[in-house]
Amino acid sequence: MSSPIFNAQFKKTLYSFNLELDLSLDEGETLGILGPSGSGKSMSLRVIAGLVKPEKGVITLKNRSLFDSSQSLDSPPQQRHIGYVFQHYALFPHMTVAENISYGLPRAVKGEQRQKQIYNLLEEIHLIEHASRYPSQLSGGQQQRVALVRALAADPDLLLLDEPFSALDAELRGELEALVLRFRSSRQVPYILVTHNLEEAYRLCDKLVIIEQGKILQLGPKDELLRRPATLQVARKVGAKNLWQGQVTSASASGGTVLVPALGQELMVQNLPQTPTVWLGIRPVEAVLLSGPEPGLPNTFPIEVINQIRGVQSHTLFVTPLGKSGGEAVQIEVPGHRLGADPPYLYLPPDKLFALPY
Amino acid sequence: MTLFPLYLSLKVAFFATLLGLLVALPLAWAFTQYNHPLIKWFNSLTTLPLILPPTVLGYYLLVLVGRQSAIGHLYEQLTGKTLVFSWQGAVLASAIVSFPLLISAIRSVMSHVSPDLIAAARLLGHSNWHVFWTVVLPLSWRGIISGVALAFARAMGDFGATLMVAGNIPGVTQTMSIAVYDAMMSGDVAEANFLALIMTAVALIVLLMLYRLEQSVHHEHDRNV
Repeated sequence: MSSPIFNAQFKKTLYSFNLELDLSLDEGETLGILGPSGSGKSMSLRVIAGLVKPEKGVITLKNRSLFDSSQSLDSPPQQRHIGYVFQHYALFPHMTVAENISYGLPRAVKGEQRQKQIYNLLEEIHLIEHASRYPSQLSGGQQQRVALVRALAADPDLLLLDEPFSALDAELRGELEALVLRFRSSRQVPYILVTHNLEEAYRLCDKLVIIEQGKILQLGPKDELLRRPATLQVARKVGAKNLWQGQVTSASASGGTVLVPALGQELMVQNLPQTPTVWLGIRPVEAVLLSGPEPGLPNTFPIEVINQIRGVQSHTLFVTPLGKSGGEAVQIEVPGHRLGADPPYLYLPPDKLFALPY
Repeated sequence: MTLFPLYLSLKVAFFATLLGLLVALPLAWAFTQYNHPLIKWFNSLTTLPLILPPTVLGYYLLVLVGRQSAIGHLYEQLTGKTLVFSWQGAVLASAIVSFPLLISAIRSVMSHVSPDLIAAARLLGHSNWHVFWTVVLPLSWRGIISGVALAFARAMGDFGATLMVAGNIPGVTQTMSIAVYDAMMSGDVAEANFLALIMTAVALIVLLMLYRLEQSVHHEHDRNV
């Protein structure tokens, strides 16, 4: 068990709520902070970076104490060795691309050595021929690539990414995500990503924390958050569109069964809380469409499609158990090519269903 | 007809602007960086010389640095000369009169330097002092130049405060604007005309500079878009 290399536990009073966070990172680990705008997620990065002072708390990074209110310790941003990538790039408009990167290199690196490091960094982001251009002559994606290597040039102990892709087009986002992941494996620098995009956070981070109004709703490995949301609120935020009330009809150490009146079905569930009634849920992508009945498979029932939304990559179907078309619809997500088949059966895998105390 | 008043006016305006700049640069930066109510109050106070009549300003200055005052006394002990009735006194008077123009231009441009840029520079390990020189000043130079041009013109044209503090001693403290008044009073219309023409030319040159500066800002903006 390695001890965390980064720890931040602080309290900061904001205009409309209090920001109270307790975060940690292990060596090489990455964390995604998810939350709606105004939930305090960017503010938490500013506190960690030393740009904003919290009232109370302790922040440590690689055995260095950065902030400790009990000892009146508050080291300035310059001494924190933290890299920061801003949503709107924050490149110096009066410096060329090469000068921007050079600004991030330690002052001790001089002459030819310095030129070589700048060249290498430019090469990594494929912008060598743009070295003497100004940021305003670059596209948004190119600017953010420069901002990323500028932050890495200073060899930070921790990288903070403050909604770095939200000002970019969808295709550029993928490109920059790949770049971040490449730097992650080549430099082993842990990072914290702030975003409101679940997909992005899931792709780039090991752990996720969901915050709202300055409070942590849930923190954990990303798959745990998706599979085992702790509250209804978290379940909704991680994309569980299907939530039903149910009565527990039998329970054992390895799960149990739940009667869901909205579906008219009794479903097998692997994990159950110790309450007689529960919220049962599943994410649209986890529900499986079968082309016919499969004997022996639990949680399988015939359905009819009452509505569908066709997308580019996948289709969203709204289905109800056969003969209950007036009831609550189950939302499921299927790949495009599956839509042609006659889909009479739905399978809700017991290990993908999650149950919350009602 | 002597050109001494022109030379003196240029000298006084130059040093007055320089003195103002040395104070205005750090002060304007402090105004944009700190939010303390006292700082805000002090910020508003820098506009006062623009509102007070120059003669009143001159009067206060006389009280503050006159021979009876502590500052005046100290200055006399250090230099062996009085601050009042000297060209240095004129520098002080025009520096204060022109200061509001200087600081408001610089403050305005500095407040438009993105806080993210400052934060980025500090997070890359650079001291606040270094960030000021390498990021804040280069991004503020247009505002600084327009502030300097306006303040220089204002300092050169000051009459009331300079007259109160430095007096009207031909060949010593008689600046252009005072010389115009003097020539007029003594009926020397030719001299007054000549001096007025020079002053007008200086004012027009300053305006032209400001205009060109504004145009180049627009050009740069177009290129960036």
